[in-house]
Amino acid sequence: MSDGTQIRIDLDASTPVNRQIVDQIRTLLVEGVLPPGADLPSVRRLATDLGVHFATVADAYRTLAEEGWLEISHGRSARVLPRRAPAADREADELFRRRLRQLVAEARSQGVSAKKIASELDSLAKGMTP
Amino acid sequence: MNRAWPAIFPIALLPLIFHWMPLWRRNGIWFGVTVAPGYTDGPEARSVLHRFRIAIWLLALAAVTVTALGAPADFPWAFPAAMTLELAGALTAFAHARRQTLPHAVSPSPVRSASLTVAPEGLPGGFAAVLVPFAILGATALYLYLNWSRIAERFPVHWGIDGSPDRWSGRTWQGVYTPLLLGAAHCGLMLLIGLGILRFSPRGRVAANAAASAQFRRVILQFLVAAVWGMALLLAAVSLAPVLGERPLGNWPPILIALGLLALAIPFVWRLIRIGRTTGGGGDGTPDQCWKLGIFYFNPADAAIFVEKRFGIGYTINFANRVTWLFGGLILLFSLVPVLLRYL
Repeated sequence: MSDGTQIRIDLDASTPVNRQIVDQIRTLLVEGVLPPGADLPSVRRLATDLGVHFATVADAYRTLAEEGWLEISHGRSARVLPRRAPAADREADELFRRRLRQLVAEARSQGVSAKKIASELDSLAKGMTP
Repeated sequence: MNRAWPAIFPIALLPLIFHWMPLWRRNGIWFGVTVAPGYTDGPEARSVLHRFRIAIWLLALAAVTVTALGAPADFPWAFPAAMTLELAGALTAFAHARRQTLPHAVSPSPVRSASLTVAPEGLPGGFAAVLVPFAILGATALYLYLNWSRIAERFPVHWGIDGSPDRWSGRTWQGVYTPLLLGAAHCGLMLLIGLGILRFSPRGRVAANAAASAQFRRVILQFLVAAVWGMALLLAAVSLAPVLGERPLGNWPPILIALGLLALAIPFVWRLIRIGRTTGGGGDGTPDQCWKLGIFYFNPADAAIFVEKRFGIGYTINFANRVTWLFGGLILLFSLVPVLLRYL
């Protein structure tokens, strides 16, 4: 069952589970692995597969729906919507810079070279078309 | 022949199953506890298993003695007492073995995985697999209706373990059609459980075991559908007995039923054991602390209603889920069908 649409959560991680779900599904959406029109599992199905409460998955789906990625309706699977990337405002730019700074610092502290970080960032940014 | 002798078969079969049951497990789980890889081959684990097996066979010896040496008049209570002794004793021995294993427990992997694919899922065999058992029961009901005059005024509806009839009925619609209605209710219940497993059990939480979990789930559902067919055929045969004569097969029916059950169960059980052996480490995606006495799963934070058993083969229910109790209510309702039929 190892396909490209697999998500993984870590119950012991400091990041809340609903946030982990949002981050991973968003990545798959941005990368185009989940194209517009694709159905996602129902809240119950995904919660059952991950072994978490419905509310956790429902919250994650709601967040993605608020971001304009998903259409959710009661009793049905969530569906991926076509979404145009909004123009990034100053607040979004600032948030991105802060999070990236923390991530780069963590990578550098673990010995990842600056060149490697730059090339990874470049390839990721070009590979994702929201 | 002492009526007790045929009863020795189920009494001896039960400890044989319990003898092997601790080995019918996922890798990395020992007596319902998540343990480190390699622990199960160590002397401590083997010693726990050895003591569990000694307890099981001592109980079996006691149960056989109670049944075989009891007077024939005592048989109606001696047989259930022996079976209860074996079951309750086995559960106690399991609880003891689990307590001895708990100090060696390790934390199961906190990492869970799930696929975002929405694959259509259905019971094995599709619509026909669901329809055929009811068609068998329906056709039997029609045959009985068309041959009403051939049905004996009084006929047996239940047989003891030695093949002797022990319950009788008359040529009334309740007497003739009750086994078929019971069959339909039981088939419906088993299919409902199958649909429940399909919709409310995880497809695979631990990435390393996802393929094995999916295969396990598929084989369990195949077993369930096969059991529904077997149940429909058995109750259709029981319903036809009044037309075919009082004892068309002599004392053979219980033996034939037992052999039929074994023939049905053994290939599936064997496949399920083999699947369990292919699982990797990382646990089964359920926390150890949510397994009460190692048998009852109680996890309010888990949306699943059915999860794989840690002791034995198959699925058990998540007692912390409200829908589980709704399911339990439905099962109770189905089990009340014979009582309701008696008052109609």
